[in-house]
Amino acid sequence: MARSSMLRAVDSINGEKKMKLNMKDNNTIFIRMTMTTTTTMTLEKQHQRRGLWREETERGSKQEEEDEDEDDDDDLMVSKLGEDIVMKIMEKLDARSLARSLLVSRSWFSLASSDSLWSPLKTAENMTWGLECKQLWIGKAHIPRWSKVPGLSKLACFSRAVIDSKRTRIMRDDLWDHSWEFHFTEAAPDYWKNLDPYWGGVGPPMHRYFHPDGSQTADPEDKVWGGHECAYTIVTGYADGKVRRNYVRINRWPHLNVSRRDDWGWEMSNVIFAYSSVPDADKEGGTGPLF
Amino acid sequence: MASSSTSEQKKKIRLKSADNELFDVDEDAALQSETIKNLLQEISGDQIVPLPNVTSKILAKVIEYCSNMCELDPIISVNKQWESFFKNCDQDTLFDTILAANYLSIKSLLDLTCKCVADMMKGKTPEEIREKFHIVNDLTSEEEAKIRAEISWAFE
Repeated sequence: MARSSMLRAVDSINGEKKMKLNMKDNNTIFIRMTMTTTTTMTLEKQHQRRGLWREETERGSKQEEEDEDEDDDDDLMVSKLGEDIVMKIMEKLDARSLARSLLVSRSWFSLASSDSLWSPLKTAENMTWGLECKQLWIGKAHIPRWSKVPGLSKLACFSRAVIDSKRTRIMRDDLWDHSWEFHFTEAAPDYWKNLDPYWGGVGPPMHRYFHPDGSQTADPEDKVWGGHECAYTIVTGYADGKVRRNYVRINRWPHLNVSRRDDWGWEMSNVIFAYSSVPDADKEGGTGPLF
Repeated sequence: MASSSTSEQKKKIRLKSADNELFDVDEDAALQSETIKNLLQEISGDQIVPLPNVTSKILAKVIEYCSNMCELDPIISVNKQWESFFKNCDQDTLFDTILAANYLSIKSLLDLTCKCVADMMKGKTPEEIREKFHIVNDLTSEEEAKIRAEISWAFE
């Protein structure tokens, strides 16, 4: 299971072709890769180059050793306080400020890009430290699959996740990756609202599940669920090279417009009903919140 | 330190700074420092605790902080006062205090002073950070462009 999701993630980075194939198979109108995915690919390439770049940096600093006097004055802060303390200071920065500090100097870059600063919180012990950056990962309801590809630096993961959090074009993975809370809106007929725990009904909130085969299901005790077959499609229309519209359609019901929450989760709604993605940290290979 | 004359019963610890100045400190204030606590276990009775890494100027401040922390005033307001002190003092004092807090292992003071430096960096551009902390940019423009591309979200 874990392995197959990994493969899919790798696929989605590497191949436009493969992606296209998948999409066609699943009856989705697919025209061309989005900007988001293109950005992702660029980032990936940059990252591959980074190994090389580190070598360059090392060679560069060797040359600099000749100008010893100047070298000493380059970074008073790191040389005075020492790396451990500068890291301690960086731990107290928010993600944006920490990212900006990468550009201060070489020594700052090498400290501020440390995995330890960009890793999500793992223990409650760290929590009391108030590590603002690490807290940014907490409570995120959707972490893109490709940010979990092994071998990437944690900084690269974070960068990718931030960029992805602004993507409103929903992909099939995003639908499968979560269970969704479902409820009727104010405008829905009373008959349905009375069955819905969100309004007049009793019991836990209703859930809907999207499956890779294009079908949708509900929990067994769901009172609204009619038991008939449900099929969904993602529709993306392009004009002038930009996504003109992107919506999810279930059966012949009204289009669901897609939006993102502040916690990186997804919302889909039309006049009658609304979906919101459920964070799935408990699920193996779940994509949000991480860990 | 002001309260030293009124609390005769309290045990005093004698500290010696790097420049050989002696400080008599209430034991509970001195024990805020894990380093002093450990040193006291090694040396016997009324010996002087030498602190060769801390100057008298900084040690006085650190002792004042530790004494404040032992008083029963609301810690939060005391912390606020110290925060505003460190934010307004010169950079050398702030950095020296960080080093002293680290050496003396006074966690609350180290956290506070590091937070002050972090707050000075927040919301600043890389250029402003360099200027503030007198750092020379040794990144090539090519390297800078690469980093910028990766973290474009931080400049939106």
